[in-house]
Amino acid sequence: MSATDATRWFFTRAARRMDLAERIQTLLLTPSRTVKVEVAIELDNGELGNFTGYRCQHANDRGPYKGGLRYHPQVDEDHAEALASLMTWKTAVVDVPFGGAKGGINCDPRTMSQKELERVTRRFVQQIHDIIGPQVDIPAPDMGTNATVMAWIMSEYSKFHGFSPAVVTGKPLDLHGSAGREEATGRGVMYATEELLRRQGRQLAGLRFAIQGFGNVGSHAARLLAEQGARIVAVSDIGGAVRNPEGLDIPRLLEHVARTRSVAGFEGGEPMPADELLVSECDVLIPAALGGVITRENAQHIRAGLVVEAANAPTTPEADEILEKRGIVVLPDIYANAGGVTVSYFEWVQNLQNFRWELDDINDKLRGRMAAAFETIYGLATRKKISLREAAYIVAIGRVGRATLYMMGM
Amino acid sequence: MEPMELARQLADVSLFQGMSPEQIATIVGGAERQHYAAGEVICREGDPVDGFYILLEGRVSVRKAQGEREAEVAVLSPKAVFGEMGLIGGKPRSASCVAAEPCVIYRIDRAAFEELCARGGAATVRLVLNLAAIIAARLESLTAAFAELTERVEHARKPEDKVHELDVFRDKLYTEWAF
Repeated sequence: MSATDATRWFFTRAARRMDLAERIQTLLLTPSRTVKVEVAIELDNGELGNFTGYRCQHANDRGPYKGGLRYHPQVDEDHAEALASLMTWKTAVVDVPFGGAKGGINCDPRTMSQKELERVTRRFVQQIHDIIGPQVDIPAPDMGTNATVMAWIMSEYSKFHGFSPAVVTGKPLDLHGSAGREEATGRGVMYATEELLRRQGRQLAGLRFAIQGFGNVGSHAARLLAEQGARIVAVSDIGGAVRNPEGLDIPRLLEHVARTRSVAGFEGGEPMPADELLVSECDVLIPAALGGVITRENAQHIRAGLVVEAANAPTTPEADEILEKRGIVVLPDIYANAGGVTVSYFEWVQNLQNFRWELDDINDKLRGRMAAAFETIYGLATRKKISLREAAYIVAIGRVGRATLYMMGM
Repeated sequence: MEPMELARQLADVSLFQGMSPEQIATIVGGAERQHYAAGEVICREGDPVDGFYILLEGRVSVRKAQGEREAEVAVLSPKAVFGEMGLIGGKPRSASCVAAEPCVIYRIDRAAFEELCARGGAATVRLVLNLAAIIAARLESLTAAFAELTERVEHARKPEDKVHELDVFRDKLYTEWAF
């Protein structure tokens, strides 16, 4: 089952619990529109590069469409549509005033030069500039895109519509980006974990964490958790895995990764097979890499008591059931990794205000949003005796549903 | 009327399909010819079954009590056989039969029918098979009518449900799923 199928499965389960009629489910799942455009550019060698760009705008009843732009050969219409609805639920869970969208270009950025990427981005904006905008649809970085790509989008859009930093988020700090945006998802993961621990009368200090993935999300989460006294006992990335039961020295590990591009070969720990990370001895497991990694097969052997989904859809529905039966608590993706879109919202607000907030201010506001969302989800889960995941989806569906009814004039 | 003449008249009654006039004559020989004026009750729902009827002339209204009212469930034309169900099932009359216009009817007594059955023979076997065929045909049309009725009920209910879907959704969002 793909990540998008899993998301749809969890949506449907929540919709059934809410007793939603088939038509209501169709109303909530159908995207407003999907735009497909030609993105043809001249490549560096003089050849023509034919690409296709997509933007799926799923729902905007709670606010402008919001979601990432992905540069990846597999990007297509289905892909964009499935991921766009996930954004709708995510923005609703943390109650930021956005809808959901997703898009991208079916190009492979690993094989393209900076100049080619810039041309493809600017050409794409020329094609879609009239369906995006600060009050319409606000793209953000995703797989294969980054702050620089966002800067090009802002630059190209501004040529048509005047200076418009609020048309994209995830911009460079020097071009109206927000403090704390880069580490926002990792920081949100930490706040989410803290909220749950507080309910259980526990704290981060001394707890043992295993983290799969040491990219933008995993590395920031590891650093922030370690700063709070947590022991990061195992980490992995595409190059390998290391463990240290006493806790890895994260600042030194970050230096090692900056130098070698991987956690493999780090001297402050012993190497371990990467596929053992998920079932290693720890208190909290954080999948922060790919979707679909916690499966029916390994869910039986997970030793953590808590799983925090920093990645999108890391747990298959079958595995989710097993974890639930085993009493392992799961902080679901649509809540746990929503720190990124929350700080994107803060960036947008700052851009609209022409005002810059301090980092402490942003972190406090992020903590407040994550705490409020947790309160709602946890309260519903306790009252209805359902999992946090099901509660999160129900909260999202409820918020989107109420806004939709108002906007439909009912 | 002579039994043989009567038998020829009744040859195309479904009950006597595949029987010779002689065989028919042995069965209807003991039948009682009756005349009913319009509105006269031939048999009454709930009464014990003492025989069955062959309609020769006129029309008969079949009526069934529905709460306090009585509904007409069928109108029978000449050559129809009625009142035979109780002979097989042993239950009291399932419906009332009323002459809708002046009628001529042959009534075959329960005792005569049972005697025929006891005697056996090809004619009796044929008669009982024909009776079964009549009941089967009736069940078949009843099943078809029931299916149509079910379909109509479903259809009649759906538009209302569809209208309520949105109301239910809204109500629930502000009650059970409010947060």
